[in-house]
Amino acid sequence: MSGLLALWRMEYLRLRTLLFWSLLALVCLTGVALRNGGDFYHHQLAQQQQLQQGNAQWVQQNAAKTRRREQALREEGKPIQPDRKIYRNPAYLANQGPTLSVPPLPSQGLSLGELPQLPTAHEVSLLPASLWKPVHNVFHPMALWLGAFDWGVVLAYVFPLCLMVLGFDLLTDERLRGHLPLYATYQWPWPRLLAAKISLRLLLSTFFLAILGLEVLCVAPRLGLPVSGADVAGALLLSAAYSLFWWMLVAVLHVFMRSPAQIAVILGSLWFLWAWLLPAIAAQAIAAQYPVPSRFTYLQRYRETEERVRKAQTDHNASYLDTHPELKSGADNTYALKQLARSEALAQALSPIVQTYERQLEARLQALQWVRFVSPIYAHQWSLQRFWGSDRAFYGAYLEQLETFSARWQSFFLPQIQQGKALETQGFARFPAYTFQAPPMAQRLLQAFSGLWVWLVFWLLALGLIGYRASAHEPTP
Amino acid sequence: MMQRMWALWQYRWRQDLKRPWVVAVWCGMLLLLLWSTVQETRSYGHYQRAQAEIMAQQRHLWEHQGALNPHTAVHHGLYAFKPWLPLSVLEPGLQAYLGSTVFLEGHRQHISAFAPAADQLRLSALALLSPAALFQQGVPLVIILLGYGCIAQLRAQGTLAFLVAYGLSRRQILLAEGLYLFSLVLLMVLPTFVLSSWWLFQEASWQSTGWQWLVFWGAFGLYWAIFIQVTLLVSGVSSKSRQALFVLFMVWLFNGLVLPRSMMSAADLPAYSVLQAHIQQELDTLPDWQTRLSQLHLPPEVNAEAEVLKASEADETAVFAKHMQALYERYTQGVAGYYRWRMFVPALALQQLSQGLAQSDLSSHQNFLQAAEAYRQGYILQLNAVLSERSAEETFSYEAGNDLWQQVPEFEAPQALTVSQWREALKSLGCLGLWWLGSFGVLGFYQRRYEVLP
Repeated sequence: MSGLLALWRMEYLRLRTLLFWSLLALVCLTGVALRNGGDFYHHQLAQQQQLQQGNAQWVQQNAAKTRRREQALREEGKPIQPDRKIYRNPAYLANQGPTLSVPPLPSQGLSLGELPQLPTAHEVSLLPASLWKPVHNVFHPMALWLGAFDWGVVLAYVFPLCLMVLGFDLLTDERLRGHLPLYATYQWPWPRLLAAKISLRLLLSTFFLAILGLEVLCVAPRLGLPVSGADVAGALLLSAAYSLFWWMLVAVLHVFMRSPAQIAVILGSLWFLWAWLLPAIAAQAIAAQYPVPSRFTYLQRYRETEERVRKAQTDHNASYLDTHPELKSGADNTYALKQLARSEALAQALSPIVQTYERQLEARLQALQWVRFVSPIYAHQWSLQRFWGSDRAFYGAYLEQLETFSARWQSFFLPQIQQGKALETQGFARFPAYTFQAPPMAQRLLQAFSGLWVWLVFWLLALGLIGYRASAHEPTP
Repeated sequence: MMQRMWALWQYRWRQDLKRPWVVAVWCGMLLLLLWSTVQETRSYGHYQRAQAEIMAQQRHLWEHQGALNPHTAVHHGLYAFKPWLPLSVLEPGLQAYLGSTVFLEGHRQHISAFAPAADQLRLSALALLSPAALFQQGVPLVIILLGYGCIAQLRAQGTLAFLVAYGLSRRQILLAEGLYLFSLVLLMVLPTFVLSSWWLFQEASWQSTGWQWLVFWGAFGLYWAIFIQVTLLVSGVSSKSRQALFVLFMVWLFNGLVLPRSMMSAADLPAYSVLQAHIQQELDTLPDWQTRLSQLHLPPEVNAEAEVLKASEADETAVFAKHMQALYERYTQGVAGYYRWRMFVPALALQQLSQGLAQSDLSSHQNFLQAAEAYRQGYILQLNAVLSERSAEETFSYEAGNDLWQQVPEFEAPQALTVSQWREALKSLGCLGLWWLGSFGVLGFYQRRYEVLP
């Protein structure tokens, strides 16, 4: 044990400058990433709060107008039903509904994922939820092009670079200087020496992660990013497993390579391959394999349909009445007819494009699962994003809840539209309420860890290779 | 002397061609460059075809609206589509993130929509595989991988001392190594250069793109020369080749990947719904129809309804212009803050220059948006003027026909580089030139002193 401690001390003295600079770089970059994450979270939160405020105002204003109108009608001794005022018209209200949004999680500020590209709010209408008008937030296009620099990037991309710097020269330099046989005479054969050096580095990398975790916990709330301890602990756990992968890789390379420059070139090339080339090539190949319909096609179909409906509104209304005879009994339903006929025509014209889009997107996401097995860097990023809720699975949960809400929205308004009734004041209080249920954190963590079994296979393989070489009783690897 | 340098150059080629990993790296990058150029050419072709098709279709819809009130037509609106220019095949820049169209309707100014990036896959923060990204990151990486040992390894092996004894001066050795690396890069990039230039001049004329093409390639040549000089310098300074590799890798990483990415926050902007709410608040303060009518004091022979319409349109345009301008100003400030560092980070200077020349940068997009907004105001004025000629009673009941829609001119997006864009590009070229001179000067100073013996 004392020998091990002495070796660790010697290694620490050798590495301390590198350790200091690596840690400093990681701490600074984490600070920058947290600032970016804080900006993102605030930006999304401001968007959502404004939309919610707008929704509340919309309901209040229409309810107040309706209340005043009802009062006036009562004072005039007239019935409050039927009424042609637009702000009481259920077809109008149903089609100009609120804007629903997915509430941002603080953890999403730690890794933005695809969220800046996705519409995180939708305007409710009588159309199916998949055709609701998306509401985008604005982001700086330059930053989107560069790719968000968040804590996920620091952990998945920059952290392994520090590990490489600390680990590309474990045994090779000792071998070049002829120290390995000397160690062997002191009962330190190379496998033991390698294990001792790797274990020290493993401890140091865990220490790095702990420091970064503490930094996030202390600094993030000050930057307006109230992440929880669980958000950080889960990510550190995933990153510790990730660092073990890199140390195993370093160990395997030391068993087979003899020059530190060669090991450095291979580690650098692997990083370049996994961080850049493979994901980029895979993205292009998958996008080419599963092309999505052009947005121009969607736009053209939308405009054509609107134009067709406008030009032949009377015919459309008549044909709509043929398929929806229940509306014939309504009092004054001209407006409702127009809205419903338009919605149906749009849904018929656009649904095939949207369905194709969704089908292709699903196929792309399925194909993406496989990229995790060829790029550990992408795999780690994927795990972090899944855990922090900034991936497509989390977004998918939001889209599913929109579908459920759409059904509730239609079932609330359609009977009133069919009866040709104007909405009454109490009706506004009974509007379907939307609350987003985020997938539970435990479930996300479980999914994030599900990819680790591949690394387990690699760890076992690496241990087997090192053990095999060690059993050959060679004085040098 | 030249013969000895030539012999060293040949020796380096022969040595490296024997190493399979060198050949693999060199060929890999060559193929990647070609592949990404072909991919970008294909996406450019798809985009151009789709855009031409929808422009024709939208125009047809507009021209065949039939009987309609001109103000209703203004509400139906038009779309302006942003063109991609041929040089953007090499440097697609920001155009996938900027939106490809903007909706132009009465009373409102919209932001651009349908950014192609929404339908693309980007699996990692770094993973861009355009030719320009490979020129900026990939080619320098190959220079580093094949050049880190240029001096350090020769010194460690004792070859350097032998070469000096053979009669080569330190300067000649550096020159031969530099030429070796430069020829390696040139041969690697040559197929892409030939292919892309051949394609480019099929698509565009020399007059429209020639100078941009020339400066574009010149800047990249300069950038690679800077990397070669820095590689030679670090390799000469370092006592061990691994030390040189480590330093160069860090330079590459921070120059191209870490620093540029850490300098920008995507969300340092007002939220879009908050911006919309501010605009709405200001719109609500504008006088209503009756107030405006009473304020205008119009003579009876004038169509007061149409004049009110024009006045309110002008006020709304001013409100939108103020807020949207402020938003675009924030964009511009972000970009200006980012490129302020181009003097210290050559990758930024190169990025600014290449995107500016290919017109795939933010300023070109803003030129497009400005042109689209001017067009919106113009066509709305044109249609409102038609209403002014009618009586007040007819303002909202008058229906114009296809003849009027056909008189509205088609939108033409600006395609030429502006003087300020050229100025910015030349400033960046100046930064790169200074870097080249600086690294050349340091190398020239250092070449007299570097150690020959390990």
